[in-house]
Amino acid sequence: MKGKIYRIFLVVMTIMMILSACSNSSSSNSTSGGSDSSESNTKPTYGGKLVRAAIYGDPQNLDPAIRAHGTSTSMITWNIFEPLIRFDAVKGVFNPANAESWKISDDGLVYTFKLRKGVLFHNGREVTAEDFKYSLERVLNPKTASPNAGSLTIIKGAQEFIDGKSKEVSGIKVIDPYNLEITLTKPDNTFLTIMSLPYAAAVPKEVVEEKGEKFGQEPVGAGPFKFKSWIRDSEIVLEGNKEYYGGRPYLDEVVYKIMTDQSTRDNAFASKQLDMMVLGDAQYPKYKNDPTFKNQIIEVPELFTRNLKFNLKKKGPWQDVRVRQAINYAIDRDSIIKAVLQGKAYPAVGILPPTIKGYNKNVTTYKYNPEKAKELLKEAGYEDGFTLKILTTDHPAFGLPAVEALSGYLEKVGIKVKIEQVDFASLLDRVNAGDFDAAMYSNGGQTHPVEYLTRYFHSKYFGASGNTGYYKNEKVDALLDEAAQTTDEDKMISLVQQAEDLIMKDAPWWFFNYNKAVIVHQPWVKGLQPVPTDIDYQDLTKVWIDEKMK
Amino acid sequence: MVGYAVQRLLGAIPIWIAITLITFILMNVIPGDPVTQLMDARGGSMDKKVIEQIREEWGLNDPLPLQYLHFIQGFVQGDLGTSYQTRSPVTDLLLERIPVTAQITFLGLIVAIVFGITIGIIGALKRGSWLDSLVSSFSIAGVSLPSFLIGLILMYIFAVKFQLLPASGYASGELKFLILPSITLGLGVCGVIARITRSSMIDILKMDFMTTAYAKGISSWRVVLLHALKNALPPIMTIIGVQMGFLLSGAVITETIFALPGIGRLLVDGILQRDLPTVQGCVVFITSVFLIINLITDIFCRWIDPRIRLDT
Repeated sequence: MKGKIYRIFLVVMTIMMILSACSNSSSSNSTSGGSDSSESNTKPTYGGKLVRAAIYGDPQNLDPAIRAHGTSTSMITWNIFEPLIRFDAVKGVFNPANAESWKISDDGLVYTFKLRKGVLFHNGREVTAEDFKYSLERVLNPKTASPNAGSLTIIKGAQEFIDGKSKEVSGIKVIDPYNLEITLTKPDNTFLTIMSLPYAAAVPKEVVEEKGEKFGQEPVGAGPFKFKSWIRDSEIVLEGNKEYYGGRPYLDEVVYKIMTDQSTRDNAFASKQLDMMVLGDAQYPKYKNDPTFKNQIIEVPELFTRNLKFNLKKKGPWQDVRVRQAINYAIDRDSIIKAVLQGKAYPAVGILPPTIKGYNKNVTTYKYNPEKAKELLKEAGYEDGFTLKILTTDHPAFGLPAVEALSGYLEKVGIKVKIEQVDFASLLDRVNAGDFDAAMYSNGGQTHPVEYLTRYFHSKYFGASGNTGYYKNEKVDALLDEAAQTTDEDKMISLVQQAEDLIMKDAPWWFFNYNKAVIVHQPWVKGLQPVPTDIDYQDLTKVWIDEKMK
Repeated sequence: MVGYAVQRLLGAIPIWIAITLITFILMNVIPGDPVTQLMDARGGSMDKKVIEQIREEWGLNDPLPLQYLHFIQGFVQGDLGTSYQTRSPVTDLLLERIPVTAQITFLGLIVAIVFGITIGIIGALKRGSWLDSLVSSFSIAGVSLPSFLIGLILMYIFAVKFQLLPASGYASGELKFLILPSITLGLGVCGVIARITRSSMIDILKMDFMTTAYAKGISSWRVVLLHALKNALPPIMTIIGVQMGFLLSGAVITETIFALPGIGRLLVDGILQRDLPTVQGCVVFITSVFLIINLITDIFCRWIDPRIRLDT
């Protein structure tokens, strides 16, 4: 009898737990159709706090010189530091920032920036041209051990300075406190993009010297938000800078909650602890199909191209262009995106995503055609197929799930796939060292089409510098070099498109997808934008909280 | 007793050296260059020359034995080196994180001891009843359910459904952030303590002196707590000491789920980013804690049961 009661009790408890877990968590969240802020008719109001998720982990260091420009750091440092110019990725234009204007000489070598008067560091001192010279030289100084130094070697005299042959960079000249002249070794129209990044912003020398290694833990810049506090691996708090030259931001405070675990973010968002977060692939359908949240979602094709890259330095069937083309024809990318990535990606037509200047929807592309794939393999002498070793991680979007899916398609045309799964650090290391046959990867983040293609397909960037597949086509090199040096934008775009078409024909990658970046936000968050460079790079000076909707 | 403690601590030096050496070798054997980890995980690239310069700057081009010797030299002088990723002294990083891990481990231990011993006693007193079966089921569930699942269930019920506690995060001095992580951590160990308490209590309750105690007319709860539990404690204390290690390792997962800035997460981040100085610092700290807890457990057992000889 007692045993029976106990069994009934256990069954009831189990059923209760299952029912509780299955009940709809969003039912308690019903709000009157939150809308994208851009449709909001109300006037922005000052005050309030924005709590957002930092999904890529603790940034470790907020000194822009110390960390490579990337999401986990730049989503924060772009608010603390003020570069000379800022790039509006939504409109695709450069806007004045610490510099009110700039001039480029006819030969494309000399850039003169006229600084704004009255721009103050958070310690109250005015920013001058001298600060920019100091900050750029600090990035280039080997003692700083900056991963960004390579990007600035385009400046005249930078290499001599790095090699210790000169005490200053001859190409960075302070004309007067408000005029800075930078001379390049050769014309390069990606230079403005570099100057808009956080590591090219000014840092106050006296604070850097006073704080030493602690500067990265308590940064001081001249941006719209001041650093307030940091609980490691938990949260970073910034406060609105009331002295910001562009006027005080609407938000009083921005809190970055460091949450790498997806379930944790879901729970925090459901319990309204989070105002906004970037969605992962697995989360996407849940919010997309939710009657409340689907109106509070912002989507954008982000500037990242996911790919399977072939190592062209290594001997193997993939050395034959027909084999690489066959692989591109053999895989049904659309189905993989739908089934594996839950539709959270855009099929890659070419290399350049639709949100970058120069995107060409008519570029040579590969549609699913297994018969054509077999034909090409037969032509290349691989009618009986071969074994392809693919290096990958457990990444949900460009890792094991996608590799397993594409393996099925390749097996249908006779190519056996051997999967080798490693952690991300190992993948990075092995791809940079050229220790792979084929690797599943994500490349991108560059806002300029020349930089986007040059970084990954120009032979001057072999190996760890970007062209990890060791692709080489002299025509492509020449087209990209010319595109980098022309001052005529239409010509630049035409050259880029020609280069992209040649690369597509050579198929050094299997072109998989462009990331569909998605933000979900609470209905009271206004002013968010579909930023294609990285949806986390929101311009927080435009964001405000509608307290009435809370 | 003091002599014994000193002897045990001196005996730990070879263990420390072995652990740091193994960690050093493992971190150098696994692929993954600490310099390329400075790149962002979403793609990016670094100049080869720059990579080489940074390696030189950090002493990564020195022969491995020399690198290890530098670490030992620093360690002896109380310097655990500088983190590659944060560029802060590792000692500072550890000092920032220790309070968080210490708090959830301590609270988790309290949860485990209070619940574990209580239900263990109930199981022993009601042996064979449905209550005893329930205690056994709970113990098995506690041991076998992964802590991340327990954490997510608790988070769902208390943070999402009833909104009584924060789902995650941390604020110094605020207990509400620590309640769910501590329960998550404690429940995993609770089952083991309950099972040991139950079996140890059953053995003691059968003994003659228990009958004598009851015959003297002492109240039941005094008999159970003062006579039975005191005698049943040594095996329970030993298992608690052993479980402290599991609490520390469980803290890694719990800290990740609840976004807590503790040692566990620091260690995981360090491993993923090949930040050797940070990993070594965490390993030294965790090893030390483990050794000291074992020592304290032994001394406590000796104190509670004089029959146990420590020096044999």
